[in-house]
Amino acid sequence: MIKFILRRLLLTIPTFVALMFVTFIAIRLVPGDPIEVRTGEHGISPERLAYFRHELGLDQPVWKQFIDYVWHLLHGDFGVSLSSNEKVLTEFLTLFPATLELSIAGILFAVVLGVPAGVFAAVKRGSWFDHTLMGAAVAGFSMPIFWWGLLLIMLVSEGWHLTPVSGRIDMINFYFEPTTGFMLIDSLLSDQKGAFLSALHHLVLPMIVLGTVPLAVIARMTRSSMLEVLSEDYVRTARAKGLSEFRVISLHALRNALIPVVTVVGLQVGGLLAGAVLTETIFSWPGVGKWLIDSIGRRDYPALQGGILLISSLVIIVNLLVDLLYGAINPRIRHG
Amino acid sequence: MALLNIRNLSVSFSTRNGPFKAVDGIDLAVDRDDVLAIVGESGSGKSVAMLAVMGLLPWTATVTADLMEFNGLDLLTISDQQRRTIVRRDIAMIFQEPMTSLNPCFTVGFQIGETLKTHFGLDKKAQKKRSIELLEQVGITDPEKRLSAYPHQLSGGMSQRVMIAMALSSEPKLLIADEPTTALDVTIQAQILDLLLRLRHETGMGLVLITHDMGVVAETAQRVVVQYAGQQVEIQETRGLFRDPHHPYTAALLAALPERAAGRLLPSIPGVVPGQFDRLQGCQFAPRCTFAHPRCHAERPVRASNEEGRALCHTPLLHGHPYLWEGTR
Repeated sequence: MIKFILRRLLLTIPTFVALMFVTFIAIRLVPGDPIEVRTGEHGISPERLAYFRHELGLDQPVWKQFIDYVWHLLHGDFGVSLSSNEKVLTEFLTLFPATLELSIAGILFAVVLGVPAGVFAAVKRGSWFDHTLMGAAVAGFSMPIFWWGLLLIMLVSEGWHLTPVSGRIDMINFYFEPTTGFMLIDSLLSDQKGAFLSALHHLVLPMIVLGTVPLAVIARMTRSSMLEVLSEDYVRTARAKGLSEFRVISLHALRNALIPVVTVVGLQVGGLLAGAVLTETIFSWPGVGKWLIDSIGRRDYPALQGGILLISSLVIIVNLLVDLLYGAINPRIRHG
Repeated sequence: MALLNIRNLSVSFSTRNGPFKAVDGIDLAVDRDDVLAIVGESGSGKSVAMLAVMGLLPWTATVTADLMEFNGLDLLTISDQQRRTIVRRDIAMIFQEPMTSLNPCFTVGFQIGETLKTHFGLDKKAQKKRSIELLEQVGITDPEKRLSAYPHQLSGGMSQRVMIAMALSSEPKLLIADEPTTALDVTIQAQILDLLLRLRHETGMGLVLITHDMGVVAETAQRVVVQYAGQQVEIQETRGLFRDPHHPYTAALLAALPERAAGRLLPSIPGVVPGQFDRLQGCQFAPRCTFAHPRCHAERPVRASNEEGRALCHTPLLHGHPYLWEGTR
């Protein structure tokens, strides 16, 4: 088991090297550097520009900058954000709980609705429910996130006045210092009446928007996996034993059908963080995604490099966890 | 009154190319202490008939019968609830592929215990105790350790023993074994058959053995049903069947047994079984039958009397020779 984890971790090293290299180069290929962007259209005298470039080390050859960057990274130093002068790691950790909260809500929404829907569609194969669900799944999967988000805001927030348009909580009425960074938990801890409901209220729409693509994928995957499993011999055995149909489906069949679904959920995590970037931007959700988008605008090299690297490590860790979880569900591939 | 009573059972499946009759008019009766064998080639409808009894056919199947009774219960009109709690408790079934018939996600102990809980409401401790007894009964060594084993850790023979233990756990009155030894190698086959016969003797349950192996039939069964292309062509006491088969198909099958072959070449039955959608107008066996005459191709045969093994034939055989019986003349 430990050997397996170590091997998997070793295999991630080339991924990290490639990641560092690509983000480093890609940002520098975008026209304009942090100083030019900050001075804007007023311009700056060439002497001052050279002075600031020297300050930030941007006058060095790119290869030297890269080696410098890697050197610092190896010492655990992600650098300092150019726009806020805060350490990148600190800034990331402050913002990350917001993204995590949104992502967990999104994936929960997708799993809690997607798995039962997929199971039901498989059991009632060919019914109108099955056809409707699978049609909706194709639509949901193909929906561009920003468009879907705007559509929901227009309909639910503007049209029906059911949910707020942006933010994590009603900041006019509620204020408290973050303890965990998770708004739902913090609002409960704050003992302010209505704070939790307000936080929940703010979460609903972003959660639906972010969860839509995974929901579609999970529902379809569960359905097809379930259809396959339902024709297996052991399902017939379970019925022959006199078990109730509910137990046959929800235990004997579903347990087997979930194996590929767990993989898909794991793979969705990468997409989820990508989706979070868009969702956070649409809903002004103060998380890592919005921070990264803003950093691109500011050409904040250290923030971007650090942020992308940290996000990527998370995706890699989640994938590793999924592999381990796989073994917990499927005894045949338990890692010895 | 027999335990399981079936008269004129037919099963048809609706397929994309229209209905397909997999079972066409089966009559049989099984008592406690009985061992009934159903023989036939693949696709002759032997399993389908028994799955119909258990109510395990897919929704595309339509079951019709003049009579289908188990222990006085009408299986045609029974509720789902009764089917689960009575029929599937009192009839147990084991299948051809033991390796895929056990759920790979659960331990042996869980799968046996669950049956005990469903039918007898035993608690965890009692489940474990009874499971160990059952595993011992089917000849599994070190049963306590096996309880925590997953199916992929068991061999084929071992898996089939577990299946049998699971079948016994509901204390059935009838056990249906659907080609229980087909997927196993020869030495294990004999062990499993012996086990089934011993358990039948010990528990007094009836046994229906579905097989395509005449050797297995000779060793185990008291009575034999012979199936061909979905039809029941003959039913007889085993001894009578081997001595004096009444249907030409049965006779040809027996003649093809290696131990009965006289010359160097093994006799075979020429031709193939008619396919799903080219069932014949007359006798299904006519094109392959050495005794066939024009009438066999034109008219469906009628069942002969009990003495002639209820053979589905215009001219059943008597001591190897066809004769015209009263019903046909």
